[in-house]
Amino acid sequence: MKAIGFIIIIILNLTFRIYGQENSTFKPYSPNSYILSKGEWNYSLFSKGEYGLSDKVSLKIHPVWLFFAPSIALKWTWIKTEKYSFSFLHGLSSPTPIMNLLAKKGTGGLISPEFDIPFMLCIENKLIFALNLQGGHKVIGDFGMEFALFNDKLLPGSSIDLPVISPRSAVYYKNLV
Amino acid sequence: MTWNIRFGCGVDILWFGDACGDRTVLYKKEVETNLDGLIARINQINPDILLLQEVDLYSKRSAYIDQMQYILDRTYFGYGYYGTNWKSQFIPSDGIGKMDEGNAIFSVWPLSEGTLNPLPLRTDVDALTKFFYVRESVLSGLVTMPDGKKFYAINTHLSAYSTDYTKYRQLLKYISVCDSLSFTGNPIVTGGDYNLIPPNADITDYCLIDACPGEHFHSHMDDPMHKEGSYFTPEINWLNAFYNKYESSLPLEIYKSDQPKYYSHSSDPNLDWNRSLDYLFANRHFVNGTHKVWQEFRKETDHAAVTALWTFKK
Repeated sequence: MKAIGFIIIIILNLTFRIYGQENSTFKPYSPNSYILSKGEWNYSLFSKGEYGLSDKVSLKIHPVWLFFAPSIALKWTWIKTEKYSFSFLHGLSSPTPIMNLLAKKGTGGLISPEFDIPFMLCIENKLIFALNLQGGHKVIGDFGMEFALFNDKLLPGSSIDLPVISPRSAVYYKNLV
Repeated sequence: MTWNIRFGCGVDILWFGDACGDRTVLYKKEVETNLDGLIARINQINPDILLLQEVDLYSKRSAYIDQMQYILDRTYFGYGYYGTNWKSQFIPSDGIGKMDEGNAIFSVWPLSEGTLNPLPLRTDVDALTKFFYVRESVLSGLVTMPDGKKFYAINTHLSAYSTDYTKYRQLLKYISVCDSLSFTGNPIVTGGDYNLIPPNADITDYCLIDACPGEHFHSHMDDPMHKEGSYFTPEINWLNAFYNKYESSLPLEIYKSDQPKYYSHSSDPNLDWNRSLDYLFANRHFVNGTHKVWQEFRKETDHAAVTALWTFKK
């Protein structure tokens, strides 16, 4: 039990990403460590939806964004008790299609068309934990690493420096977040 | 001295907005090289008061460099004011992104009473464009010389591409700002990039000279018929409002006698300077014959620096 507490503290300190959450079907942003039951699903407008492949594994994917910004992830349960749970998440994504779409002249050109966007493949591996509180509330934290593989260099001027809309693109420019 | 420094873009980089180019975002090294060239010229000319237009602060297009600080750190000026014209966290067009561009006043003597007067927005663009587009302004500051003499320095940049009366409304507002400061009894010296040619200029239509490859103008089939920012014929008398009230460092009769000598702009770096857009005015006399357009500095920006000597009694 002490070891589990120590791990939780380490993860909290390393990530600083902590979320409060209630149980509901619609979650705009849901890095939950809980695995859905087989056949159960959650959906979201902006982030990936989640479908329970089995009682231990779920698939995360967005049915519309998949075509513009391909991204898929598998989540599987490592430890699950009534008070807490740990899961691993492994994901693949490629921002190349959406960046090419946004690199255009005129209105809507979030990226200058002068840049050639190389093919990029991002690999994400993450440990997520959830701690159950009273009243159905949870505290959730995650810790992980993301790597980007390229076939060419992505020039820094091609970044979309817009908070909220594209806040997590550093990996494409620094190869690690 | 007044100079439009074109955010450190130089003339070799063909920017998409005004040079028929395809570049939007410059690299830090490019901007620093161009700024160093501009600064070398400023230090060479050695003006006491410097009015700059198109100075960028932390803009994506100019590699997020604070150009005010960059210039202050490398020149002899001890004082500076910056007034933003175009500020947006994110411009969702052509990859422009974050933008903060404005006018600046640099002085070797202390500055105070810094004031930013916004000018009317363009009325010939759609609402979305207007929301993200530049709002030109007039920046002023009170200069106090060591012997106690004071004068106002005023800097402006009028709209380059308006095709209606926007620029005239901006000019009238600018004149009213100059009037209000002149009424204090202090001398004023003002200047900037007016994007207007002198009222007695022989050439008033630059559409064909400025046309990018594939662009056509002046035919009934062409829409627009004239290139934005290149057709001065309907605006030719507008600057009379300023000439009638204030003293120009370049009197119209002097300009008329040798126009190419006083040209200060060309949108094509491969062409010679071909129009006068940059001016200095005051409510006291300039020293005769001291107006100079630094045409020999062709690589620094798409405008030539304009200088003049100005004296006044306490």
